[in-house]
Amino acid sequence: MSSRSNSKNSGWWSPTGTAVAGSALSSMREFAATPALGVGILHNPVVPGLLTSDPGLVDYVSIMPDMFWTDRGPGANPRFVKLDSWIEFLDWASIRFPLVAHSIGLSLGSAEFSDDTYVEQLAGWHRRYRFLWHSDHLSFAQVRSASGQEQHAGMAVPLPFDFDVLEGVTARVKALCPRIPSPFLVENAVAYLSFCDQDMTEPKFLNALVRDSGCALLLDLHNLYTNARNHGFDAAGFLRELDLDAVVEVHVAGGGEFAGMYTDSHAGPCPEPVWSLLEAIMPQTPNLKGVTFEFHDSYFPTFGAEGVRAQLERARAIWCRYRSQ
Amino acid sequence: MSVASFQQALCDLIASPRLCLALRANPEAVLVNYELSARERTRLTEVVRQRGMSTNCTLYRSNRVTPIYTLLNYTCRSLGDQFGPLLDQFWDAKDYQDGQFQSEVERFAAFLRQRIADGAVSSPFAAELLEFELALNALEFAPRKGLLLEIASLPPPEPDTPCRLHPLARISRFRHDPAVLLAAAARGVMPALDLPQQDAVIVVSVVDSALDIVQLPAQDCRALAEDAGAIQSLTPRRAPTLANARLLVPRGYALSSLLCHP
Repeated sequence: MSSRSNSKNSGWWSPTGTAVAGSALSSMREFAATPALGVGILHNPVVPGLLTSDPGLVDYVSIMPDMFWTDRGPGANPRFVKLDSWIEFLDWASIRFPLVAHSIGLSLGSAEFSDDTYVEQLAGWHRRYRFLWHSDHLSFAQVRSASGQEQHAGMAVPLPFDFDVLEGVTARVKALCPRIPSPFLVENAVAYLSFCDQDMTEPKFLNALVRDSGCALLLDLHNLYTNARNHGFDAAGFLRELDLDAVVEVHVAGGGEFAGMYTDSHAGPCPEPVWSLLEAIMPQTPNLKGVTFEFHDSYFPTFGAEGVRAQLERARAIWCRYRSQ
Repeated sequence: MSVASFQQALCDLIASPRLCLALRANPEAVLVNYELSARERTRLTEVVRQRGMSTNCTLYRSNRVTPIYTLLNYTCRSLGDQFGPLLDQFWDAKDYQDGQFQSEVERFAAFLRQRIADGAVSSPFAAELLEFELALNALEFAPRKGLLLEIASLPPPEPDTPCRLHPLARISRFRHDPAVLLAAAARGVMPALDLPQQDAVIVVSVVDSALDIVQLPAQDCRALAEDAGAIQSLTPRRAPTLANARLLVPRGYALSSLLCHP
């Protein structure tokens, strides 16, 4: 029996979503009530075709809400305009799969940026689609200059692991949690730069963030692998330092060499070391609810539906080895 | 302010390989523009020497060019060797306020229109391909389902009913044979630069899910032109090609789908 069948039969989930956690995460004990899901996929434009032809492929779907609307910017009325053709898939998926949300617009690490209207939009989507949890990245993408001018960084920019940054991110997450009506996860970021003289290591930063803000963790193993490979540190040592009890979701993905570094390009199959990291953490992550495979649709022609299936089956085999008892 | 200023500096550097080089050459001259702690100054001075900064600069450019090249593909191809320098000029404007595909494409379109008007673009096809692709994008993002439902409830227009163009259709004007130009663009090439000029008006629509393109005969073009002068002469009788393609809807009905989807 697949883990999907297990989770659907457990009575935790219904299309009307009444069983979904209704308040922000304040402790891991509270989060323990959320059922384990199994293996999921991050939505991209080719995923609807994969899932409509084989709904048994995954146990849940992770979606980036930002991709389903056009944001016309603060002050525009209406500001958020949904994309009809994409929403059709979401409505279809929402009655067939548990959904989790993975946003890209909160810019949690920004020192001088917040966007209440965007947060309200996310909260509205939670009410509509009843995402089981919500995640965003430990990075910043938006800055606001002293003159009030907004600027987008064009990518997710990593943060130095300093006390003042921790204080700022903790305050942001604490303010967000009551507004997003499901548990909130923060994802470790990929970083092509390394900052000297940081106050603490990344695992210590993440542990403190969990402790002080009440969030949980989305552990992106490919981000970790990428950083370890580029900056020459031991990924296993990182995991030994991290509070794995706080890990609720794991991301696995592939990458490739680009501009002289190994990048988190989601270019296809996961490298073997990422699978090894997943194997290593499975026995130590009692609150892990799902393993999500990510790939970028532009690489789909290079590995195809069978390639995606193979990755999902590999993830499922590992999941079942540790969770199906 | 220090952390905010550090983040601003990092953004500026990632957006500009030239600024990274300037910082390498003369840190004081660049960092004087930011309020930074000593540690932040050291970090910035170091990161511009890291290979990862070059990766970031490349990713930044890749991320920004993706929506433009994806949604204005024919236009970009028509620019040939001018595309890169035009992008550099566009990015120099430093008005990248969000990561939204649509707004980035709209900003680039406004920039390119101005450069075309300035006579700075050598391709004779760029202007018409730009307007054509903007029309396609407008249809791509239109609330199709809601509009079709609303329009289905309207009375069908009589031969002399004043009409408007269907909101799931757009007019696109060409100065060269659109069939030749679009066929070449679809193959990833451009026609010879001396392709004869030939004014043409086409209507692109997604009323029937698949994209439909109709070239308008002179009679329909005349009706459209007069209608643009507020004469309200666009009727099925005066624009039979549009009427037969079901691209006319009666005037005087507010479509709520358009209100929430400008």
